[in-house]
Amino acid sequence: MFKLLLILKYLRRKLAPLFAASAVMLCTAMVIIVMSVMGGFLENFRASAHALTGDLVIEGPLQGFTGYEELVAEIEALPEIVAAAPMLRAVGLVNFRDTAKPVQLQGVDFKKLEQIVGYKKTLLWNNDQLREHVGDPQSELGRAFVAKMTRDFPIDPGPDAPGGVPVLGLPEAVMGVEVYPFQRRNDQGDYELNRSRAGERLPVTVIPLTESGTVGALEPVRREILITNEIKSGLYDIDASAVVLPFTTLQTMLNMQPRTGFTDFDPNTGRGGEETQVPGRANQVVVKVAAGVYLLDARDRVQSLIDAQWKDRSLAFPPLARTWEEVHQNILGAVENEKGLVTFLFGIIGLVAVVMVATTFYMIVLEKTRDIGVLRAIGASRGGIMGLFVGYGLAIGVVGSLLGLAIAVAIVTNLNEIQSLLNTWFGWQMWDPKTYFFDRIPDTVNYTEALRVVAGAILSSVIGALIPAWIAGRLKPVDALRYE
Amino acid sequence: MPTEDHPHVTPPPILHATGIEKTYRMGGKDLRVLKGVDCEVRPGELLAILGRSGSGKSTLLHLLGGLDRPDGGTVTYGGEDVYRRRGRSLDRYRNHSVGFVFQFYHLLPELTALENVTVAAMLQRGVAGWLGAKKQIIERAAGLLDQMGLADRMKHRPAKLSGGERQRVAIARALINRPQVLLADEPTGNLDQETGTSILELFDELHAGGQTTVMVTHDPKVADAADRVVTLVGGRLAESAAQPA
Repeated sequence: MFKLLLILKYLRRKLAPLFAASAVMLCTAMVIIVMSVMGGFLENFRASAHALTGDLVIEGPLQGFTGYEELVAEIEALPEIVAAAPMLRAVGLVNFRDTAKPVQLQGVDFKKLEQIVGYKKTLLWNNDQLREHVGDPQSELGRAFVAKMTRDFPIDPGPDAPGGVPVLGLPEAVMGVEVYPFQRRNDQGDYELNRSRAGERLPVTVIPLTESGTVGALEPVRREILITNEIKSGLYDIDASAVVLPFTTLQTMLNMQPRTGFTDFDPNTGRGGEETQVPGRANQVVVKVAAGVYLLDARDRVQSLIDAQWKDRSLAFPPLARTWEEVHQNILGAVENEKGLVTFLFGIIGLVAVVMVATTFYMIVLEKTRDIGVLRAIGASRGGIMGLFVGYGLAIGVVGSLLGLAIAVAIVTNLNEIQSLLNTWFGWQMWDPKTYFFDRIPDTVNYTEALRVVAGAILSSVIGALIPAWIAGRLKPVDALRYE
Repeated sequence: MPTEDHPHVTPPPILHATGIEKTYRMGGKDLRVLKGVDCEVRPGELLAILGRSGSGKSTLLHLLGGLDRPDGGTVTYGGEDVYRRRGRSLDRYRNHSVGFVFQFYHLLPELTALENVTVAAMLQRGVAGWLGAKKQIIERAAGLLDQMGLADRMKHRPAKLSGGERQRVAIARALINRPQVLLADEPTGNLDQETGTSILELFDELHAGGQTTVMVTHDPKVADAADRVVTLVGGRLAESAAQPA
């Protein structure tokens, strides 16, 4: 009981615990702030990486594989799966007047894609902006856009969309906002509508591949598409290279559509040359997994289904099912590595907190040596004295870390406002939205992680107090009483 | 000391030191402070240990009170060797059986006068034990402070008290657990003459109430108040003549 009394008194009366608690408070606040911002970035990266990528992606060779319709149907029949859709990815070339740029073409069923990844969230411009941008509503393009907008918001490109009458008879596409090579952001980090390519006709060129993956005798295919909106996923790689157009359009351009063909003619036997149905090809399937299903389990299930279907095929390697995290391993791995480095730095900060608390407590023990002698002389046990200082460390840890948590929450949740004030008052911009791909500094506290940090800070304080407490407990009463 | 029932029989000592040896190592040399001291404290007596500064009288008091370990000899309390006790048992001896009063009071500066007294009663109690006895302990502490003339100073911290008042608080603290023996180390050594006299009167009152007390002093005038005076010279104890009642 005396421990509680003295801990409360020591907390209120002395400057030293104030320093110790301040050290714990600052360490706690610093760690929570950095973790929240770093964690926020990682979450943004993950969310961006997940956008336009299903939970699972089944990737085949670039020239594609047949039987994708059956595969999609079988996958969708699995209880773990919500939806699946075929996709095409191809390298292409777009021309902005006299400037050519290589792009990553994605052929998608927009309706299915929305169901699988919610791509509309990544569309940059809303109807009002597009209406303003496209300009004269009496023009052919303006009229077509307005007619389209009354049916669907925001612009839902592609003839696959319900009621999707193509504007101006062109395949409608969306394009990463940074695909346009002369794109610039303003000082606030926002894209300006007057630089948007929405409403622009864009020539796209692809080189079709034969079924065996060679260019063969096929000529490059060029076609005009209409950019109806731009996407801003948050991942620069996607936003600087993706052009998303209707699946059937790209499939036809790549000569991968189902069609009537002829079997090879053998002049020796005179056989062949008969008319035959050539099945369509896709090189990817995107899959949405049901909520609560572990992605790796779903991946394995889908892969075993693919393997069973591919058992009798000549294709050397069956398509490979990967989770979206595996697909974006490069960028996520880099951010995760950064987080690992930050965690290591936090470990050092934790160690600093322990040393600071230990030093402060050692000073407190020195200062309190005579009191320790008095307490021992009037009957306090060694354990009681140790308990007093460990309890004191605990109290300082609790007070310091809770104050640190409060400060961190106040700072993190107002980080953008603080930044704005600093910019207004001192012209100092700690966060340049032009440099980073996110408009705002992440300002959400992960309370689970924050509480872990608080627990760590309290533990650090107790550990820091342990050695001084042990020294205090070991003091002989008579030596402590004589201490000057 | 003869008792009322047996006027010629001396009661057994409550505290008995036999052949106490204590050597300090100072400046690379051994300093033998106590060279086989025998000393006994009888129930109800006020014993004064007289000696010059550095004669080892405080060391002897500390050894009697379980604050330090002798290099040789024994200290028995109620027939039991104090230094055979270990850990909590020795802590309990310091808390319950003896009560210390120091020359420099040694009050805890963060606590009020009342808390300084009650803290000694908290030391051997857990939360439950304290809560169960809290009311009586606080009443007793308040009563002791009242007895010491500090009824209106209970909420004051030591820094706000005079030297004499601090020593009275220290005496109240020493008495809170009703110890058999009160051990006072130069209780007036840090006080002016008038205040010192008032403190000695307090010891007299306690003695009159039957409190066994051992008082260490270098001042023969202080020792005058004792029933019995022993003098520590050259590391050995010499008994002086009994004081007139």
